[in-house]
Amino acid sequence: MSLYAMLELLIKGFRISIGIFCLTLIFSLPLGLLVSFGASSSAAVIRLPIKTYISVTRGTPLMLQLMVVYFGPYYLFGLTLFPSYRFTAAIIGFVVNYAAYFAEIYRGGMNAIPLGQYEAAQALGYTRSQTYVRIVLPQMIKTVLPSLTNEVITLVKDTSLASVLAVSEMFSSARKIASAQTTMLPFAFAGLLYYIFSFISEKIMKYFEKSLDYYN
Amino acid sequence: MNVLEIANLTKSYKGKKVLCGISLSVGEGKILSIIGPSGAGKTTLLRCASLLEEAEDGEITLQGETIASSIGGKAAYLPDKELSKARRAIGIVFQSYNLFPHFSVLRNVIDAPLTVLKEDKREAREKAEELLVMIGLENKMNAYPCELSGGQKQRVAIARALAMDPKIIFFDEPTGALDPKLTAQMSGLMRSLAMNGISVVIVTHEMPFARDTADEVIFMENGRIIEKGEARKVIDTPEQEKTRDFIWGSER
Repeated sequence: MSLYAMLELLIKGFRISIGIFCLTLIFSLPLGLLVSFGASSSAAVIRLPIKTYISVTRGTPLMLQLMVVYFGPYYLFGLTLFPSYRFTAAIIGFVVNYAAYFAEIYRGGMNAIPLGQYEAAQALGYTRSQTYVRIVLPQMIKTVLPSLTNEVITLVKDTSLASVLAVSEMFSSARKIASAQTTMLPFAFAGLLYYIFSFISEKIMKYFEKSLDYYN
Repeated sequence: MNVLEIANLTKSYKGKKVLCGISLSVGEGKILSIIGPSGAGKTTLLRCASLLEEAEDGEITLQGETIASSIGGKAAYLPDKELSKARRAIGIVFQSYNLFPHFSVLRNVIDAPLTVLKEDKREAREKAEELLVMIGLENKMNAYPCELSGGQKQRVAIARALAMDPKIIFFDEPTGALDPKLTAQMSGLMRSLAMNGISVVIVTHEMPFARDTADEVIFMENGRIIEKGEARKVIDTPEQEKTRDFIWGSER
């Protein structure tokens, strides 16, 4: 196998890794916000299940969660699994897992906003939703960005866990090529690509952090 | 007509009574100063009177409208929606200003009129610029609160409150961060607000400031009003012994 063919296969897998990465962020970033609202709800019927979900999700391996999402429907409900469900299952697993982490980060960010901000908004007659949208959220985003950067970089590497569901992302591709060609080279390339991907993600996040530097 | 009337207000924190039946009234364009030692309940009174917090019992009337009435030993407030409408007549300048750090000075002043009152953009901007000229910060319009000094922040907080056209405005310890010159300016600013028909309520520790600024003074201790009357009279010739102890003690 030529080096070129090897790289071509890896990059095909890399595209799927990027797909998992983007879809996970698109869904889990807003979902995390909803979860964080739920976790601080005054209604125990909402709060307790959500707190349990966050606790279990953070306390069990992501790899195991991916397997539960994929195999669960068969073992629990006897549903037939189609191979096309693999990718969807991976996305669901990642979104559920990352939303829990993001929710906790958002909650921390919310708590960091001084009570005086809410009071000032109340005194000026802002409604609750106006207060959240105009006053609380923009400040919260600034506070949580550094923590989000951490999670985003972790996600770059976590996409490799989708290989447990035989989703043909980059790590699966690398392993396939490596065992067929008896060479470690694909792992080296994959490692390099993961690093470049993380590096770029970090730069993008730092750019967002910088763009909010105009106040403190 | 009195802009604000309060009768028999009570409030406790963790079982400790902080306000024990406070009654007061503020006339249109009048300045009332609440003085007294730390822990007297001044700030709590201000927070209840400005509808930031709910009292346990008592009556509150704002511009003739009943905001809270005493029913069966408990204060019954208007429903949330009407309460937040009633709040529009009230401006608050917080001790720590509580400006919105992510908004520019202009945005701080203009945002509530646009968001809450749905004012026309151009009119709101013109009014905000006028207010900034009045407080002498027109050249800081595009600055952010973190770039301002304490006194400047406070003036922005005043402009922000005034942009909502309040009938009454509350100040919590307004002179705490000001030097004597700025304190004198603040006194002048409050007098001019009153001259324009806005009632002012000030919580302060500073006797000379209260004496020169307020029309009327209330002296509080342990959640009770000990003495009230014309500002100069109460501060220069207090009748109650507790008031005398406090005022003369603070001058020595």
